[in-house]
Amino acid sequence: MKFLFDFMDKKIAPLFEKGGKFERLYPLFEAGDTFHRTPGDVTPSAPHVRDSIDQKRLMIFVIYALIPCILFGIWNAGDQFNMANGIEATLTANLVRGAAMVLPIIFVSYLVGGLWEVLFAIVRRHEINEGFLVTGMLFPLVLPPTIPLWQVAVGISFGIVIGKEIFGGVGYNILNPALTARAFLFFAYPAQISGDKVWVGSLNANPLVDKLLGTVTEGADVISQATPLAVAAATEKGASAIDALKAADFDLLNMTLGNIPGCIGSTSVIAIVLGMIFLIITGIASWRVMISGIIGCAAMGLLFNVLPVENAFAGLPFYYHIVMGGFLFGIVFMATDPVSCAATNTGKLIYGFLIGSLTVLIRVANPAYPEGAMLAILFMNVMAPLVDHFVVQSHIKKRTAYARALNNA
Amino acid sequence: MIALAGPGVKEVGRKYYRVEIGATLKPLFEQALEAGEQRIVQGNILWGDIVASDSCAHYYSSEYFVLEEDRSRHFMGWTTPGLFQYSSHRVNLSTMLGMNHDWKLGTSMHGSHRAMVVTGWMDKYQPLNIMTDYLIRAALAHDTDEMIQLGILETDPEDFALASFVDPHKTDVCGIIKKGLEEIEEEGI
Repeated sequence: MKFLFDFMDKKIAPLFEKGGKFERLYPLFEAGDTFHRTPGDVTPSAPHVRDSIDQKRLMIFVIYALIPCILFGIWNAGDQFNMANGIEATLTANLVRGAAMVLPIIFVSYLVGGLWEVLFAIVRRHEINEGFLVTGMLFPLVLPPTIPLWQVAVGISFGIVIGKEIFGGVGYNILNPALTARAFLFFAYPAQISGDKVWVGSLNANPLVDKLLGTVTEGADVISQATPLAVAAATEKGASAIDALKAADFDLLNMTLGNIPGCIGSTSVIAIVLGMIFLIITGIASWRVMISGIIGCAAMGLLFNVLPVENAFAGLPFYYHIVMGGFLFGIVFMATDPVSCAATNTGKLIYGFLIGSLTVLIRVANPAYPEGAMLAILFMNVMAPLVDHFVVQSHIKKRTAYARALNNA
Repeated sequence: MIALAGPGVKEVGRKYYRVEIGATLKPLFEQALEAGEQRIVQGNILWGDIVASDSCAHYYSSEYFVLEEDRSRHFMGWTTPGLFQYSSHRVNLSTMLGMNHDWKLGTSMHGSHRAMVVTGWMDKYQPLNIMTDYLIRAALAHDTDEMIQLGILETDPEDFALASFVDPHKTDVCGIIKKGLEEIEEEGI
């Protein structure tokens, strides 16, 4: 090991440093170098000591929090596929089938997104930022497992370039890049991603896996199933949305467990709550956004229950809104993105609450978009600086009032 | 009377010394310091000055703190459990378990500089009623009016030493505030 490190420091490093042959590619070298070992820099001036946390550690902890969602998503994709095709399958068979569907999406997302990230880093001569690790993983998790891979590539390109890099990279972006990418696909290719129908899987999806598992899947077409949100939104006036959901095989239990068709990572409430607990314990993501978001969602749901609206969706109990669709995944992993969310503590409470209530408002009041979480978060991303502005102004006002009181005393 | 302290001093050397003002400290440092590259800080580790190993005892100097120049590089440092490193955030197993040893801190940056991403962490370590994140942003934008409104005139760069310490993006908060204060002085506001 030591020999390798010495070789890196003495032979490879000079090639990339100033005056070296590959000077322009320094960001690439720096990323690889600090990926396998922490940098050896010392503090230039006071304070002479620094905390042992850095951004790499910060970002990798978000990925750790996503692990339950990823694993469950892989199993669920396989399970849904096999159920829809009437194949009796074991746990392993489900996992293999799911992995064959999900892993290529994650791979394409990282590969294409990574290329853009490296390209911008080299042209702009800044370091490759770790924030991309999280974006590249969040994006596949909010896609249906059967999305064509070229759409994944197009989507992540849009998210990284338009959502992030044209503003200057991680730390400067206004919108959450992963959600920007999804919103782009949502409006550009609604057939494959729209909220009302999710493709469970086509039978001739992957002949290699068929061979591996010994399943015979010839001559069948694409099978699609509706998500709970679509069912609830389509409920006729006067009917009960809960009954409609029950008729389509959705109840509170399976929506909490998550073994229903939907986006890869966002179906299981339990997996998301595990990630949420991890994020709150480690203090990486803001609990203010998550808690106030859930409260906002519940409050708006209750309000619709009380209001005399002739909309079956409005009569749905508030806890259904929390477990249904992508809301919980959105509020835990997307809304808490520290760059695009509000920066002040009070602002975070307001921001989260508004996301929760807007989600329910969009779901119930707008029949065109059954999934409101994505649009609510993107809208509040844009509004976050405004929320912060008011919080900062009130802080300044309080300071001035205090100073005046001191002067008068 | 001076105190010599810090992990860079041999166990027996960590004590008070009676020295004449103006006397050279070279023999003292040679005897008491551990081998290897050491940084001698006059004052405390958050806001002291670096002094050379052959400097003299100053009228105002009462404490010398010696830290190891930690240029070590840890393999896969971003994902280790972090049992043997101090962090004020709950991302190290040591902090999560509430382990309480005498930590040996060095001068390592423990990471490289990045744009500000996480917000609100620094305010926890700010004893004054100051919005640290926004004050830094105002200072970076050379917005003197907003800096003053946010209360920069009540502060000293040293107040932000703890914020610098905990910042995961390795922002030089003290330096930014210092520059901001200098700018205000230049403009004569």
